[in-house]
Amino acid sequence: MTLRRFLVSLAIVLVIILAVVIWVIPSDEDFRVENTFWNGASRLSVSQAVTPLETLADLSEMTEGATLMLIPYMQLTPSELEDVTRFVSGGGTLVLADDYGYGNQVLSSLGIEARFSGQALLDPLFNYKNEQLPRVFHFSPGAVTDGVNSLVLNHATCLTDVGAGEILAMSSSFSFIDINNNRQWDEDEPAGAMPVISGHSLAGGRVILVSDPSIFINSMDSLDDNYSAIENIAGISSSQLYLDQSHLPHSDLHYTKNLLADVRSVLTTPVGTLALVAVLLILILRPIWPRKGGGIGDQE
Amino acid sequence: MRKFTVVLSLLLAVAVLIPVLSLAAQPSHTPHENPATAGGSSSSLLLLIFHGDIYEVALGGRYQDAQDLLDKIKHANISDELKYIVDRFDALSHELFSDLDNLENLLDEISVLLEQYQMEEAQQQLEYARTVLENVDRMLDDGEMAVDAIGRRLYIGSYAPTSQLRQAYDRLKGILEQMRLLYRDFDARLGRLFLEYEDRVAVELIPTYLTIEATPESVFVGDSIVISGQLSSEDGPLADRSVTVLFEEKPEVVSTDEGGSYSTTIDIPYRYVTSVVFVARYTPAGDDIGVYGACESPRLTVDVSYYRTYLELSAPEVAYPGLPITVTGEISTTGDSIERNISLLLDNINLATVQARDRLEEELVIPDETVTGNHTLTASISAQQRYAGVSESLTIQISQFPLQVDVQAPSLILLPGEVNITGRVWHDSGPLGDAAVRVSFGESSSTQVITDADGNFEAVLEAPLRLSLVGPKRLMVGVEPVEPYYSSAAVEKWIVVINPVGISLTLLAFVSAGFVVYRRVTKWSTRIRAETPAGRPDLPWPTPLAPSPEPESGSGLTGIRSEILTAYLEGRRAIEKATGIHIEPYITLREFLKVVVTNVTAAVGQRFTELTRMAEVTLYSAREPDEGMAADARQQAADIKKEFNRDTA
Repeated sequence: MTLRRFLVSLAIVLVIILAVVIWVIPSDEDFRVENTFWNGASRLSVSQAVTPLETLADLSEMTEGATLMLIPYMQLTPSELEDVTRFVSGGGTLVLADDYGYGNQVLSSLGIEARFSGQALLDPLFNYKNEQLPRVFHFSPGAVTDGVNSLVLNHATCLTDVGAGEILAMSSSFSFIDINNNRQWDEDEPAGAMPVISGHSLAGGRVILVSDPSIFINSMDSLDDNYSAIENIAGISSSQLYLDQSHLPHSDLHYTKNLLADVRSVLTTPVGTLALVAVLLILILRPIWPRKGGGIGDQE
Repeated sequence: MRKFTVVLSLLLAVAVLIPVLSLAAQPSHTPHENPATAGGSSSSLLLLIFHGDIYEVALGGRYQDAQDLLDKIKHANISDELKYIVDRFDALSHELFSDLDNLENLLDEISVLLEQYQMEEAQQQLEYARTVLENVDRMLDDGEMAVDAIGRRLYIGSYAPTSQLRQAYDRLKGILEQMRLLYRDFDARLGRLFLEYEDRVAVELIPTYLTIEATPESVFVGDSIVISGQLSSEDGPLADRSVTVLFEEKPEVVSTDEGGSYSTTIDIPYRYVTSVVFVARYTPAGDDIGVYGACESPRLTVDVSYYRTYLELSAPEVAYPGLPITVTGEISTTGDSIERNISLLLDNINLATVQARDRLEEELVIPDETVTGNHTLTASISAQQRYAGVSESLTIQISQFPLQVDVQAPSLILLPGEVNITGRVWHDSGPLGDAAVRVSFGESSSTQVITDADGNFEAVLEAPLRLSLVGPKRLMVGVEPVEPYYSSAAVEKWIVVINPVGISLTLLAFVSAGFVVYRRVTKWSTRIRAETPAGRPDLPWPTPLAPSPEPESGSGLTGIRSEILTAYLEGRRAIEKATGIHIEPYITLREFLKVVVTNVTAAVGQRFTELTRMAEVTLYSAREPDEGMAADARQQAADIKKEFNRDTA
């Protein structure tokens, strides 16, 4: 066997082994319902019967009574923004949960004045373990806050430009916005109670802003009354609860798994199956294929 | 080869850089951390500031607000070393603020009681206030000690007086000292009230008396009643005095006439109870203070009448969504029969409101979306003036008619092809038409059809080529009726799927692979045979790992070397023949020696060891063997044979 042939064979074997390993290895991506680890949303999908959406284009089929949870960590295209606007104006409820992503792009598109601050909200006194896990215990009565006495956030931000009547939850008076990320309050940094959840009525539908999507991850739902809040949000929906997964942070593992899934779906079609068998036959029969100027080929 | 290396290097470089690019695309902040493993940190400074704020609020007399703020502390992250003391301090503070609030109210109440010469009540409250004040004193002492302990835990003495932590601590201590002043104020005020009590108790008051009666003595709900009586003292009736008539904690103040009599009309509310209680009270005011004592009338109980309502409700035990049921009921009262408003509710959801006099009979349609299981049906007759209301409930079971589904499908199909499925849906009383039948085969192939008037359906599913060769595949048939009173039904069947194309191609692949392997093996054997010298009949296999010395086989050895090896082979053959142990292709000369030496006599073993050594020298050593060694080898071989011949003889 020549070196070249050995390397090619080795590369093929490695690719196959890697593909199997990647296919089998569990997902560890943030907020995904397939992820059973601390940062996944598998418990949400089980306890609240959330249907994951891989594209917002599917929103056109369901609107009235439905709730869409959108965590926009990737920018939305103009057509996706139109889909979201159509969903809300058609009577759907949009739960827009964002901290450092593209929530403001969605808010601009919907014509809502409120904005996600995009800067870290810290609470050095009222918190779970440290200031980056602030506790929230000021609530206005509403469907989302019913039965909720305390929430724990996780690396949250705050909302700005929210009307007084729209605020559903506020941080404590000891919280502040850490503009320079030094985890300490400085003179020029805003401090005091700040909105973290708000509700907005919009053209037949409803928009709920949550300044921390992390309350939906597996490790957070058991803290304080986070689970009650999640139940309340899920309870808004009279028909179906959807979680958009198309704008979640993607890892290389996710891309590769998707690629493998695409390859698998192609291979399971009649054409794909035939092509695979043909390629395998060619590879197997190649050594005995009659070669130019000789008999049956011998690579040695 | 060079091109291949370049392409491989480029791929490796891209693979290394891709993670860097994806890292650059991540959000600027960490979206979250694992709360289970998150590091802990707490702010003692803010904790002291917050407690200072709370005590400042209390100092301003806003005790309830201070307690509300204390309730928020439970959300604070307090370090383990401070947690117990802070928790105890907060519990103490809660009690302290509650007692101070109570004390404030008590002292105000005592002042009023003393003003009104209600000496007995005043004395009781004074004693109670003294107990509360002693409690406050103790709690202030404990609170100061708790703050000292917090200071020690924080090593507050080591902080500069200008540091934020030290200032927050000093502020809290200062506020506690002010709380001590507040306590002294309360103490002084209570002392003054005690003195006032002593002064007033020395005065002799003229006792007063108050009577009370009702006209009529019993009433219906909604009617009015006249409450009257007389206020008098030892000196006679007391005119132009205010008397308070208390009914259900609601006071009504009336004045006495010249004869000391008072009278007021009170409406009995529509509360369907059997009796109500009235009491009248006189409290000296104006010039009467210090002259007359306060008094209270006996408690007057007045019987209240109303018409009771009875309802006997009946409904079917089982109901079906979308189908009506008839709810009946017998209504009776202790009064005359009148038209009544009746609400019919299913699990507190109002389904209908009807009017009936003596008998209720109403057809109710169970809502389509009602889930199966037990539900509560309630008929509620609302109260109507003298007629009390009544509510009766029944448990009814909401159920659905079961459906039967018969499915005919082939038990075996070939891919690619079509799966023809027919079936029938029916219920106890006949076929079910217009029902949606969803048929799915495997993961991707599904269709939906509607049953005809006879309940029959027919579906055709495509079964395209797949990777699988042969195996069972699940056929699911689900029936969704239009009518809510029928239950859904599902049938599962397994169909064996055979993929002849796949099987053929796989067989072809295996045959091809077998052919290739066969050719390879044949070619390899041929080559080995061609490379192996002929004339080794005594060795069954070529010996690539441990070449057995074969001097006759044309291995290139000649002369003395050949003679030595020939002698070795003769000796070895004799041993093999005698012991039955034969050398294998993968065994070295020395390994063979080790095996056989234990199976022969010591003399033979010694000779064969020497013979093996000479064969190894001949085969592997650069030293040229001499004639002496060859003679020695021949001798050893001859001796070995002789030994065996002798043994045989």
